[in-house]
Amino acid sequence: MEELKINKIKNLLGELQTHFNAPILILFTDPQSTIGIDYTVEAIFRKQLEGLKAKLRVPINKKIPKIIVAVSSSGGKISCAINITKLINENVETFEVLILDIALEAASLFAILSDQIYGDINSKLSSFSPFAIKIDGKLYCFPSVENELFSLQTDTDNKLYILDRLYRGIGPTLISQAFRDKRVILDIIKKRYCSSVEFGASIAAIEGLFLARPNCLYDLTNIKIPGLDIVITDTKIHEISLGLIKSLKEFSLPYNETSFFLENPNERLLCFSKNYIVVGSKENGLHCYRGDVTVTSFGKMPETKSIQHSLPYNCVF
Amino acid sequence: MKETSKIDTNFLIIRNYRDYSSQPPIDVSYLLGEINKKNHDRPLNIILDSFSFDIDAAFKIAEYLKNNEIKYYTWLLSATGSFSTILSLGADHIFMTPYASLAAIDASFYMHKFPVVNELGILHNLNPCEFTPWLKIVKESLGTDEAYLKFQDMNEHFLPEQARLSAIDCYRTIKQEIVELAYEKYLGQSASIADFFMESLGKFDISAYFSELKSIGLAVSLITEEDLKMMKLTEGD
Repeated sequence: MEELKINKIKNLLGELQTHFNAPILILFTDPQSTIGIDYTVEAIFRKQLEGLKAKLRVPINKKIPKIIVAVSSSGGKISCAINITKLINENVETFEVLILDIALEAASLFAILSDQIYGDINSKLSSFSPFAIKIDGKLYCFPSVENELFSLQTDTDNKLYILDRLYRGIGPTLISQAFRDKRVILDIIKKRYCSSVEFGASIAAIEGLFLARPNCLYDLTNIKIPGLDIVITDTKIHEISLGLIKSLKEFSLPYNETSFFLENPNERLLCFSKNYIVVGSKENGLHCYRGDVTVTSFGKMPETKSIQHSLPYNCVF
Repeated sequence: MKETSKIDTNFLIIRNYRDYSSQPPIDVSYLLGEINKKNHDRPLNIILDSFSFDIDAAFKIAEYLKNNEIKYYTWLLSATGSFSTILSLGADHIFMTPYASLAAIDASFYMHKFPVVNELGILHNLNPCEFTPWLKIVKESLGTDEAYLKFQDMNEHFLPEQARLSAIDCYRTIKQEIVELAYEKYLGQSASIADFFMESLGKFDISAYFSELKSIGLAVSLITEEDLKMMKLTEGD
């Protein structure tokens, strides 16, 4: 059964490879998980590129001419997305991204740093503004406050009021970290687009779309960035993409999803959550990481009686 | 030009895989003992396959090698931590695979032992690369000295001046140590190399790969197939 699922994924990858005439690497993470692109994904990418070079008989100190990374991810760690991009650039001449359905936050940055993006009319990207988490648990997005704070229209008393609110709600260290993160992201974007003939316009477009406003979702068809080719694919690729996502979901989580079971929260709680990641290629197999966490508690919350990591399950097929 | 070096019996492997949150300190006296067993007539090849962020240990080892005039090369196989960064900055040459990287030396990483502040119940290691530009831009934005004084009062509660000055001192000390370590090889460039790892690169988990390291002027070469085969043979011994 498992073998059938894997063969189906490999066949679909083969179809994409034939269409694009380049090796395809899959980057698929649980759309509902906050984990997404992380250190595990970074480490698996390293193994995949190493394996791909060996299969293609490319010497260690030479580059693979081209790869396409097929992405379906709701994001993850920005630093890992940056590292994966750097790693690919060290080992590949041209790196392009095919958005299977969504490439949000860190995955959006990953796509923007590629040489070319493919996707269909349903493909989505999102902004990737640095954020900190307020003590009340809400996300705080830096750029919106930054714009308000440094706007000439805002008077000094109001600026002091904003700062006081920020300091009490988040604290200066997290604020200054978000402030620095934005500069680091901009630096890496500038390096990618430095050879663009319309460098200024490229940076302005990316800053305006992806760093100025938090939580913005964009259709790929509406994005225009000078220096980045965006190609809208035909229905055939759309169908393969849908088939691939369906197969990857079945492969990643081969049981019915029971994400939450709650019985009188003051007395008994059983919470089951999961996350999964698949990074792979036809040549080097699929690296699957699956993490399941079961939390049970008896008596009044928040006393937790047991936390069980039933897996992790880390396998290569 | 690539330096001629072959991995022969004169090698030392430093290998440990730990994640960011659970790193034991490096056993310096054990490693110095291992170094002493090696032949010092030829360069020592240190194979770094370590994710350690113990920069104190790295400074001690690099200083020992320097004081004893032991020429050494570092060989990087995969992603490494700031321990390897410091050791590589004192090396005569760095050899690496295109999958290998050096890490940033970020003040906010707990193993780098920068001053800690308690902010709304959470402990943070203070990083001058973060709070200095932030305070500067707020000062510019507020415009008047009077407003900035009010802001400083607010800061004093959350981000005390004494802690900030102590973080800046700590930053300068580490930077000075890096400059001294790298000076013999990189002369006037050593300060900008220190700035790259301490400031420009970003957070502790952002890596610098071969091209970036080459562009900042480090003596670095990519490992060839031949080197790799030799290394695998050596590791098997």
